[in-house]
Amino acid sequence: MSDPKQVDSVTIARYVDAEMSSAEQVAFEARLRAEPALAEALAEASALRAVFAVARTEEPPVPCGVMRARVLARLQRGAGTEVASSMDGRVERVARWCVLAAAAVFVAALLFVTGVLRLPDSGQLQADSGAELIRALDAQIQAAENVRRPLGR
Amino acid sequence: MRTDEDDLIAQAAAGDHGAFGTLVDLHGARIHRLMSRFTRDPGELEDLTQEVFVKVFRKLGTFQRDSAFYTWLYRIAVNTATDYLSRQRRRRLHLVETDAELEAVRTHERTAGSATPLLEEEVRRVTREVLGTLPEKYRTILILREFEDLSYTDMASVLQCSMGTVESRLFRARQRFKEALERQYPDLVPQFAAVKPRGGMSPR
Repeated sequence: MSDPKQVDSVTIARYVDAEMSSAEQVAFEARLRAEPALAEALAEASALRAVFAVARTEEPPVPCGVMRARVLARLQRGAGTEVASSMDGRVERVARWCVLAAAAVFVAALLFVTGVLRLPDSGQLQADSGAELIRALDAQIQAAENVRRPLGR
Repeated sequence: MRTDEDDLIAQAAAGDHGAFGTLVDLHGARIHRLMSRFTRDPGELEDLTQEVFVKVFRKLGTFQRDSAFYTWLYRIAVNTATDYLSRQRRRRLHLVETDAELEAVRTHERTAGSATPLLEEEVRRVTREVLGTLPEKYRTILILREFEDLSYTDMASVLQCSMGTVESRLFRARQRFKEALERQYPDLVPQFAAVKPRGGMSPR
């Protein structure tokens, strides 16, 4: 606000908007008589004010006659909606878990039926698998021994 | 001194819908008029006005009585309008006239016989349109001052800023309005300079 022109404009605005004290007003009007440039700036500000004064004569739209009833209904509906929405939230969470559980069961069943997932049908299978594993390990040890021998270790 | 309004506020804050309904009756038209400066769509206007009062009811417990109730109401209304404007901006819509309204004005321009009412209508239309192009903070302060006739003190209370900020922002807002008017409607500016309101200008 150090610009003298802006300071004057703010002062003019305060005068036009009737925001001055009586003493300020008297002092400003004395300046107006002495400073034509200030009077010119005031005329410009008053012209803009006149534009707004015309614009504000527009009839505002009439509020609907049942505003009170609508606001109160909205308040009651709002309270009801809050309760309903928290209920809805709980129901929704339970439903989501149910759907997920059902989907998991379905996928497991599908894998089982298609043979991708097989349950061990006897202890023999496990024993056979264990024996095969031991045989494979023995073969690998033997192979390693064969490699070491020619190197003279 | 405790007023009837204070009692209504206290009762409404305690959850009394009847008392709050009376407050809506007392201030509804004023808030409706204020919101009509931000939207011209009748449905949105009703909706926004109701939204203001729903917020007021929910916040009544926070009303400190360090300002007048109506300035507190205005504060909530202005914040609601600001939210509305930013939603509108996102939707890339202007808050000025709809196409239908613009067409109605154009038709009126073509058919109207009297020059003075036409100029007044033009002033109203152009003012709305230019206001709609200003940044929200300038538009709001012009609405509060030029249309709602709020004092600087009340504007400071509504906008929660200092008197100095009100003065400088109002100055800039008027400057921006004038520049936009001259830029967008250079032909109309000389006519506007001769405009005089019919009932005279208040307060000076």
